[in-house]
Amino acid sequence: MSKSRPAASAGAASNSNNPLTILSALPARYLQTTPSRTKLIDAFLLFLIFTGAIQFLYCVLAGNYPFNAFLAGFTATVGQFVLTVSLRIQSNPENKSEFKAVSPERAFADYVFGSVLLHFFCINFIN
Amino acid sequence: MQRMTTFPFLARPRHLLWPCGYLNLQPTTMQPPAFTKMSLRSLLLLACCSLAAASEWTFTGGKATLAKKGDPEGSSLSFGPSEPLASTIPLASRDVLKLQFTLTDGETVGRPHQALLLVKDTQSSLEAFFPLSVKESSGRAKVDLSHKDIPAHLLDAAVLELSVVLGGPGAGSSMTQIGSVAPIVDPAAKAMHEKKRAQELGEGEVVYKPKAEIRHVFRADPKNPPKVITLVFLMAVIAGFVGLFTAWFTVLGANFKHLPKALQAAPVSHTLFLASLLLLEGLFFMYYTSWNLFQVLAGAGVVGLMAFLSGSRALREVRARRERGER
Repeated sequence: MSKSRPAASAGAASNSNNPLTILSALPARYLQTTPSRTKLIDAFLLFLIFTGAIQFLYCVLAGNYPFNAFLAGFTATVGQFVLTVSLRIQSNPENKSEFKAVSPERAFADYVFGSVLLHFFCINFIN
Repeated sequence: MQRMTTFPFLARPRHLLWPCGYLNLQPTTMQPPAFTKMSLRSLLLLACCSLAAASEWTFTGGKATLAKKGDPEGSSLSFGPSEPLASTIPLASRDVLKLQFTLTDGETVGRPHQALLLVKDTQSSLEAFFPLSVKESSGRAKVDLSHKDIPAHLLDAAVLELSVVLGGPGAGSSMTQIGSVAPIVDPAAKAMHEKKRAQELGEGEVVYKPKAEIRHVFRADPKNPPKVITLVFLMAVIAGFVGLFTAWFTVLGANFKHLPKALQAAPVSHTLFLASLLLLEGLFFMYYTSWNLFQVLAGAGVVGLMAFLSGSRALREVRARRERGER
């Protein structure tokens, strides 16, 4: 995630270089500075991680029969995660300088196209 | 010595011999001269014997040399057709007994049709033969005898008799015993000796015959785990879904408040775009349940085109709102 933190507020805390302090201040900071659209995307990412973990746990516990079903489901989760992460990068207003040619709407259109393709291939593979 | 039988012609009754009176022949009541004592049969036999005796194969000038491991020349003894080697020669595993003699058929030297050295174990009646290497012109024959040539079963014998066998069609053949040999088996090489014995009996030979029938039991098909586990995990995934929607709509407050404004600005595009996305997912559901690939591709072509056109319009409208700062 390529977010640039403003350097001025870092010096406000007395022991700002302590990793524990930074970690404890992270949630509040995240909720403050992240735009609402990005937070929606982050919620979806968490959901995808959760679903992928559930699928993997099932495969470990109950065996991988049928194997293609596991692969299709897991690939859907992982692929969607990758696409969503790239959408998040491209649509984050703080990264505007790096993605001059791609507007957030264009990123969203690409995201939709990629997701449709991914769904098609996963449905094909699940047989 | 028995009285020889008389000539049959003269052994007739007296009264039938009346013409002999005119030829001045007397009936033989007295002993005939020595030549006529022999019968025709024995005469022929003697003739044959003398003919055979003239061309029987034999050898002269026999020499036996025992070459030991550390003594390549070795000691040599001589032998002949009527004087075999007096004592039994001990033959150790590294020793080589070299025999040399000259073959002759009584008058000329040469090479008979067959010239062999026969090695025989009198107790078990096993025998092996070794051909002699003979020079045609000079009739010199030689043969070497060592443990590696002799079959293993013969090596177990206490004493092996050596004989020279010569002969061929037409001429007389002879088998002359020339001596005996006592093989000494090295106890260290016992394993190899046993292996050689087994090999001679034919063990270890490749015999082609049908193999045993293979009864293969295939691995059982994999089975699904009990449905309870599947249900538990399904519940977990659904819980994840529920959590996502709550996060979207309640905690973060998704952009529902933008919806009326968006619909106002470009109603057709937005509805068509969202409808086309739902239709695409519906197409995938049909593909999963009943349709085949070509039907899905045809449907996806139509719906995709719709999505593209309406989507570009809808997103253009979104972008306009973003640049106005309302998003």
